[in-house]
Amino acid sequence: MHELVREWSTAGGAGAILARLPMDQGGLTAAFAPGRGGSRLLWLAKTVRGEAACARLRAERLALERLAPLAESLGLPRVLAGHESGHGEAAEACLLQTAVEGKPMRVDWHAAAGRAPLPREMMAAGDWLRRFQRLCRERPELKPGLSLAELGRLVQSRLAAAPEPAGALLAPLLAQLDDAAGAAECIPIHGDFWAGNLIRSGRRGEIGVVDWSGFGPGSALDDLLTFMASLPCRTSDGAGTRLQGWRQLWFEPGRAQQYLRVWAAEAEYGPAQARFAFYLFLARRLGWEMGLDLQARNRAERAAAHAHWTATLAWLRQNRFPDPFTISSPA
Amino acid sequence: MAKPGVAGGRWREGWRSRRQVGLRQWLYRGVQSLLRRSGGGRWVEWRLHQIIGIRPQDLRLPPRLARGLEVREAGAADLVAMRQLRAPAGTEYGARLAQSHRAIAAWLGGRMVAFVWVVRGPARLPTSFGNWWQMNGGMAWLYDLYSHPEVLGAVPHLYAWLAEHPPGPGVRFFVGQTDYENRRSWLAHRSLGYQTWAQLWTWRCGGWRRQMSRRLTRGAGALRWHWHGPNSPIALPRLAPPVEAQVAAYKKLDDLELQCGCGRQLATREEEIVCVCGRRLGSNQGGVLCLGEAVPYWGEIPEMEMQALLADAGQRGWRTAAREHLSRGLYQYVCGEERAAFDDLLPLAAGARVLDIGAGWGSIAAPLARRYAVVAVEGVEERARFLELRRQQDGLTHLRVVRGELQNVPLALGQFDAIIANGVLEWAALLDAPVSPEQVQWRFLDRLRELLAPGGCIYLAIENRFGWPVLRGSADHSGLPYTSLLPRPLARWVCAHSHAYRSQFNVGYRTYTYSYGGYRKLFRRAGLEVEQSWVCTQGYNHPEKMVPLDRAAIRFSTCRRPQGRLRRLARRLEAQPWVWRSVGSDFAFLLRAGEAQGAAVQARRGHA
Repeated sequence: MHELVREWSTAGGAGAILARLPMDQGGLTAAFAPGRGGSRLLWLAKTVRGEAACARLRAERLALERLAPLAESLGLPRVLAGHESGHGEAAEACLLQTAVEGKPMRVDWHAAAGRAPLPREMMAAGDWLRRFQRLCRERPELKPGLSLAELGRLVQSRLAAAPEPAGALLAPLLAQLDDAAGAAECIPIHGDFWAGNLIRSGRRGEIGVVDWSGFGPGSALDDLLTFMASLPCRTSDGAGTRLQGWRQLWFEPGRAQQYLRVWAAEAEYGPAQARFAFYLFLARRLGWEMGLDLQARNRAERAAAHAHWTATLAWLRQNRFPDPFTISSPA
Repeated sequence: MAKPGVAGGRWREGWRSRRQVGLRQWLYRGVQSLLRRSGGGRWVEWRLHQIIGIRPQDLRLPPRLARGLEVREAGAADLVAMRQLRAPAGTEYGARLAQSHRAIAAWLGGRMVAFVWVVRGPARLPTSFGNWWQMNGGMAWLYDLYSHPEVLGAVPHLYAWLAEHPPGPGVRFFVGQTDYENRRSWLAHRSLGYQTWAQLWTWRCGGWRRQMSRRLTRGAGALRWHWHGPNSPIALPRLAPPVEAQVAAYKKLDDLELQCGCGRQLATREEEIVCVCGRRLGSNQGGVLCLGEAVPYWGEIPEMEMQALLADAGQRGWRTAAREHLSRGLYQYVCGEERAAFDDLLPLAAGARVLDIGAGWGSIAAPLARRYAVVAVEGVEERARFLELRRQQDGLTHLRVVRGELQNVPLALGQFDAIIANGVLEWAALLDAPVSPEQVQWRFLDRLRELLAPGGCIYLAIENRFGWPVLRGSADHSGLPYTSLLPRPLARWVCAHSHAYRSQFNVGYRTYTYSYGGYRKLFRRAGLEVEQSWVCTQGYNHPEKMVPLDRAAIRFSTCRRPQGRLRRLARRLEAQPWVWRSVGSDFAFLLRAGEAQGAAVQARRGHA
């Protein structure tokens, strides 16, 4: 047991009930306080080993510390304590944070639903995102002070040295980033805004958001696109690929495409800027899925991502890199 | 909470020393006075604050406290007095008291002279210079009110009162803040056992613009400084020392003790370990401590293959040899460190002495040896040699390999902080044929309890007799499905008439497993109490997901929302602890010696 966990679990005299769940390169320890009316979740401790995992946890800690003033209004966890030790493979880190009560969100929606109303969960997630972006804009200290074009250049420089299969896939996406279109300011984004990281609680279904290791600058569309990209991709015949799901979400006329356009309009993005944001998102997503970012990927995950992105890029190339904000229906 | 110790006369010197000012302080004071007199203080601010902290149990109190002081909890009626004491910020106090903060105040002749805010859990408190302290744990916060001699006398009273009336389970530290200029206060606190927790340089240019102020902090022992803007909270670091410092206090494995039948205790450093009474207890052979007879070879691979692997491991390294000689699944089983993932739940201090029984390939002992001092006991000669090679090649200096069978290894009693028995109890009865399996298992547990140090714990993982995998037809320890579900005589008959490998090995079906209630009964009989119990959902050999038998924890661990009524009903059933107790796959228990039993062991040790 990590010293920090031991210290916190024995702080109250009577020991807490501990549960362990698996996590990438480590474990998640949840502490419950026993009580008469049933036990109560107290805190969560993430313990990881290895340099990459430690860096991810460090990023999460920094993000939560920066977002601490917004924690109450947005339902974010707070950092209770953290510790790092060792170097290289022997590096170990532990982060204790308050628990966000509730259950992870689950979206039951066919991407092929087309003109069917958008799922309530997506609307709720969108509302939370709006609130988050508004509060971040109000706080000057959270502003990244970076334009989309500068971010694009940073992403390009970071991903330029990607190993071969990923490098070849990234090149056409990065070629779509036209600096002239990236004048808009970056805003802080969650970075891994998928349904599993959204915790719903209470009767009114208030949303709390966990796992802030991807916190950083991005476009106003990034988190929404991440949410959409991770939706279950079952098509109407029940056996669709992710590419089919993405096509139906973004490139075919429907509620989802409309919703995305409304978001672009709210963010005051022109067509060129929205396109820039979209392709920047795709490039970063590719890097993330191929394990070029902080999130490590095993061989099987990389192979699956490679297959998916090869098909996606072939389709995009065939359709001359379409734009969900201007086209109505590509081939 | 431990009662605070009482220091001698040193504290008094600390409180009374008014002129103990060093060169650095003079320089600092000089700069401060220059800024003050020249009026530059309005434009430039440059100060050093020290954040000091202490654990309540480490507090040293003066032998005699000031007379006439009264300490009690402040209520809403005392707000006026608080405001008088701390006039500029007084208006905030009411709000803070309402925010569930408590205040403990000291009174002298009916006048409030000092008070402490008691804050539990994460909270933000305003600093005296416009920033916020971000408190990441329960602590009692003392404002810097103690510059007046009258108030100085009150401060130990406040601490004494807090130490005797613990403000709550979450309050672990007392924290204060002093200005570097105020050396008297600093010395006084040092005499009480305080240590510097963090230093904070405040630097500001342009007195009328708060936006330009910047704070620079550094925690005690930390290498980096951190900048803070006017609105960013300053997180207070932890008081506990880093893990490395604690791991440095490994319990020495050289002084592992054996106990001869005559009652004498022997060290294990010599080549041959012979008691004064003439009995030979064992010997050190190539790093392995050999005690008693070796168990006949058995293992996942045939003996010849194992010999070849050992020869290869000595020349090319154990990892390479294992990759070549073992199947992919077995290689991962041997090398994968996730087998020791249950360590996240063991309440052990770094450096504790741990006994791993049935260490096998060392998949548990090796990862544990990075944090604890581990004694790995293995009965099979070849496996013990493999483990020793692994220890040498991985440089695991805190691992000691012992070859022998636990029941015959003469380890001295009460010397282990924790004992790991991962999938061992069910096999214990195999080699002791004349006695009933239950009897052997009970004796085995009794032996474990005797080896525990006071306050030590046993981690025991084992299958559920009626577990879900068994119900679905996976092989039992006999190598046949469903034998654990059968009545014992019937299982014995089935095993006696079967040709499956493990049944031949396990003639008479001696590998008993039990239900949850059965285990509890067995433990009670052996004088052990269950402190916590978990279900290892992926089996105890992959303890990555361990769910305690508690309703909230089960809900937390299985929190997916299923589709469909039937599935939802199944989920609802799944969230019931009794379902997990009945058909959970494998159990893991954290056991401690019962109080009466513990006393009996102590008495026996004393007698020995």
